[in-house]
Amino acid sequence: MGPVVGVDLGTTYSCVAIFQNGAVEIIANDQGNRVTPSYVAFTDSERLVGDAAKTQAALNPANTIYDTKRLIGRQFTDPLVQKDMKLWPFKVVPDSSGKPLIQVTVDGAKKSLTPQEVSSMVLGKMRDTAEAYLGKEVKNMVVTVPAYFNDAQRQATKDAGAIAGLNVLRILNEPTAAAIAFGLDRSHAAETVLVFDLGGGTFDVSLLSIDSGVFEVLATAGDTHLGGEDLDARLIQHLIGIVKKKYPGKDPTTSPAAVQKLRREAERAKRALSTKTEVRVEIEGLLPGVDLSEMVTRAKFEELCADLFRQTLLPVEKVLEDAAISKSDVSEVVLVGGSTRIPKVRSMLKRFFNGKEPNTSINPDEAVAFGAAVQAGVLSGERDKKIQDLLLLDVAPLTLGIETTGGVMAAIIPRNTVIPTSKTKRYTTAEDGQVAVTNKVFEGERPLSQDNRLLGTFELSGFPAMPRGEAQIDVTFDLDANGILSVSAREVTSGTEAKITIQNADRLSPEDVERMVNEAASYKDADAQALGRVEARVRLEQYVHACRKLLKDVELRNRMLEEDVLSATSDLDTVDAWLDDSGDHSAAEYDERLAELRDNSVGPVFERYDVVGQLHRARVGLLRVAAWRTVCA
Amino acid sequence: WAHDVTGGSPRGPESAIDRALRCGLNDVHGALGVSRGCQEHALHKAWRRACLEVHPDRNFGNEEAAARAQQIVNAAHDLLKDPTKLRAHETHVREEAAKAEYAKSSRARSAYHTGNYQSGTP
Repeated sequence: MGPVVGVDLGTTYSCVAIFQNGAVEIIANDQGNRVTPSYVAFTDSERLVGDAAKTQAALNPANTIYDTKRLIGRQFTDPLVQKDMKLWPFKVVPDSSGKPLIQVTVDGAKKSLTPQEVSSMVLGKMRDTAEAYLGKEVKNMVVTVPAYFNDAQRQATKDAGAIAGLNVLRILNEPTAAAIAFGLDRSHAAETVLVFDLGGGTFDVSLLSIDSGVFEVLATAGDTHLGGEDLDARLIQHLIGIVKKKYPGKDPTTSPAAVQKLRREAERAKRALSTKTEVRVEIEGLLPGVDLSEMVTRAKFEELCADLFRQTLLPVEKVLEDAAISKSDVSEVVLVGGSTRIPKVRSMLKRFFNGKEPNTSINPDEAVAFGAAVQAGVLSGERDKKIQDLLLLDVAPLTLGIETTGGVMAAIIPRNTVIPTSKTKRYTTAEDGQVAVTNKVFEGERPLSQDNRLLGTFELSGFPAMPRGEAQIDVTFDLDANGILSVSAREVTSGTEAKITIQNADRLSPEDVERMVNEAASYKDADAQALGRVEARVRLEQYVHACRKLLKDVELRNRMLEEDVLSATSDLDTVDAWLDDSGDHSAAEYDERLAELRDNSVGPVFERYDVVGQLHRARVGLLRVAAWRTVCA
Repeated sequence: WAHDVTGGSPRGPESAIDRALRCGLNDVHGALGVSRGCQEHALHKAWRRACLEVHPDRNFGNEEAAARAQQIVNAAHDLLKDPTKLRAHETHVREEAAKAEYAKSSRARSAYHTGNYQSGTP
């Protein structure tokens, strides 16, 4: 099946890794970075993904998309989406069925993208990174998601892979992946490990038993909307308050570029406060006539985020309670995610576990991709003694159930059930001759279904009419190893397969996915075109540059006629001016200009003086430099 | 053996997958290969051993049967962990068997209304 890579698709950063020759390698991107910002940007001429997109974020705020993991699988009306939108410089609008779409302007035209499509671009970038490193086509991936992601969020992540033309072999839970990174090389004594994963946008806690290569998740809990970004947001609000106080009448929130600058500086300050006790935040020209220079202390930061820090302990208590395990039975508390570098988070956990020092032996930014790569190795059939005994037994994070009389939720698959799992529930008809039964499937922990999330409404039909109570319809709920639900039904008496239609499910139809796959392919064409254009432009620039260099050669100048020098210089000046003052041209136009120079204007001049060989050598030298630059760019 | 699809020679001992599929949830003890009233520790060990043998990630080329077997051993483990659930389940299995017997002997009279309850694993 070819290489299978593991990808940590993060809210703020993503990371790709591969298991080969008995070891995991984290793959650096074309910038040499081991993590890639989960950013996508659109400029007038091209689409940027990763570092290039993040670098230009403050210059192009409305067309720079990030945080899609906070949108994926959610409704537009979700209060969290509404709240996040206030700090996003890009526009989010609802589609006809209430799902969020991200709106950008490309070439003067508005373009709407689903969160799945944006995530597919990030996954595509991670694939390209892996392909460049491996020198092989990559078609298969293990992609991680927060353990507390629901059915819709998992399905949407899988769809994102499909849109990028990838086969997502497994949706793996992030803390479980991190546990593999932690436990893979440890001794075989059984231990109970708590993984505390506080990332850029999401928070998970999983309790696992690790014994001789078997990783058994005992319980999991979390918050799919709590992470470093929320801490940044507190700091941003604090800084906005200071600006407003110092400059009455000025409001940075009215300028997307100002918010983007604040976001960048807030993130920088937060990171610095993990090692220093105070840091100065300085932004010159935040708004016209507004400079910000403010000292932020670690104590102030902790005060601003105090409630968020406290919230992180609730899932810790919940997993211990669910698994009926006491604090003292936890042998290691493993920290994962960039936000676990914060001293306050560490000290709180230490106090909670009665002085037990949290374990920081794994790289908090890379551990999830590391574990995903190991599972990718297992699923690719890699025969290696390190992984041959490895087995993951993960659980369903949320209770799945159906609505019964009075709007009460009846659990069918309780949370923390080991997956894959299958439960069958028998239904019957309430009226004579009834030929259809409608049911609503929910997920969540609240006793009333209205407080839980509706997964979909399914209708059973296609069975013969019978007196009431006679029909016996077995409805089977299957939760696969990805934590994704599928429902099937069978009428027992007549032996017919009942038809199931799931409505208002937050899922893309196969047609939607197909359409997006085609669009993604067109991006690939556009990307290739952009690349071709850049290369053609570079060829022309290099030719001009080589000619000018040659004209500076003293020996040649001494034997050249003045009029030849003047005509060659003027031809080169014309092309330079054309390159400078006009926007982007097509590759063909650049090549046309190059041919004109080479065959009709300066080329023949140099030929007359027999220096074409010299010109060629100069060009090849320059092209080598250019090629090297392209590799590094 | 981890990637062995067949799980034993034709005359050799029955594979864990075949055993789980044969027993199903009508014989939860048999599905895990444990004796009635075994201790929690032994039960957990048997479940883990069964997982290592039947899990679809370890049975390439036979994923479908493996997934069904995994579902059965998971459900059996859930039931055996909880004596109350186990009792309710075994009562239900007995009733279903009696009902099937009754339906066979008199197909004309179908007096049983099953109501709205969970079959399989409560």
